[in-house]
Amino acid sequence: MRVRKHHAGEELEFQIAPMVDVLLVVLVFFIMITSASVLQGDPDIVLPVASDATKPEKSKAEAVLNLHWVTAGKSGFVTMDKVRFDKLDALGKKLAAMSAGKKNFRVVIRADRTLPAIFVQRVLGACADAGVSDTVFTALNHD
Amino acid sequence: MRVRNIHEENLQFQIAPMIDVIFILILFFMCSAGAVKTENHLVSSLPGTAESDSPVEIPDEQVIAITNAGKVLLNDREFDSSSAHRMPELRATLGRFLESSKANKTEAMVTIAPEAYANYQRVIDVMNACAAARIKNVSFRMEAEE
Repeated sequence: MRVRKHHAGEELEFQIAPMVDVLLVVLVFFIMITSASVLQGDPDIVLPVASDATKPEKSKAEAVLNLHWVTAGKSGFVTMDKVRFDKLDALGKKLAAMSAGKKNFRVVIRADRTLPAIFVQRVLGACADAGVSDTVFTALNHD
Repeated sequence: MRVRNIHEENLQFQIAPMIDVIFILILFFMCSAGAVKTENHLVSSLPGTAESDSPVEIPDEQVIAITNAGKVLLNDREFDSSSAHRMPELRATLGRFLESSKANKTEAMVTIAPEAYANYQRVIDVMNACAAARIKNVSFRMEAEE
């Protein structure tokens, strides 16, 4: 077997190029994980905090509902794909049409932390009427 | 006035400052990655209709009530103060409930019954306690029609 020997005359150089490559890869990695977690959806909604919530599954077909509450009128409305639904009957019909034939269809609820529970219950009622039983609630990992 | 002649200078690509800048950028993104807010999910299932030929097992159900003032009640007993978001007492109780359900070979199920103007954050606190206690079957009680 041939063994390389370090001769006194051989010059051992520090290779800077691979180090720069690795540093750039690490940099790109951190940029990606920082920008991937930019909050999506309605920026007006201040989500509640739940430290034990799980990471979202992205494989399923879903509808994201943004729940808004008007304190003055004591009424709420829902936005889905930038379409506003003031009446929950119309939302229920839309959800029924979207979920038709899809077994794993789910509804993602994004609601403000100050929202009264009654409006969430009404929206859940609309989901149940539309035949959607798989619902998930969105929350932040920390404040 | 003395004018510098660029032809005389030895123009070289300086690698050391570039590495310095990359290190600073990495440090910045590493620090900001820890403080980033992410949207996570709490799963629940609504009561629905299901066709089944096999006999249905009745789950072991507990109903957690949430008052408008933020009090959390399980079997008429109040758990944790209204300001405690992590709800350690409720977590421990739900953990014991899950263990007893497993011992009885039944499915543990929690139904959340909030009052009309209970705060949504409080509902999420209870769901978070259920998730921490590893209770997967969480449902909601629907409001009665007015």
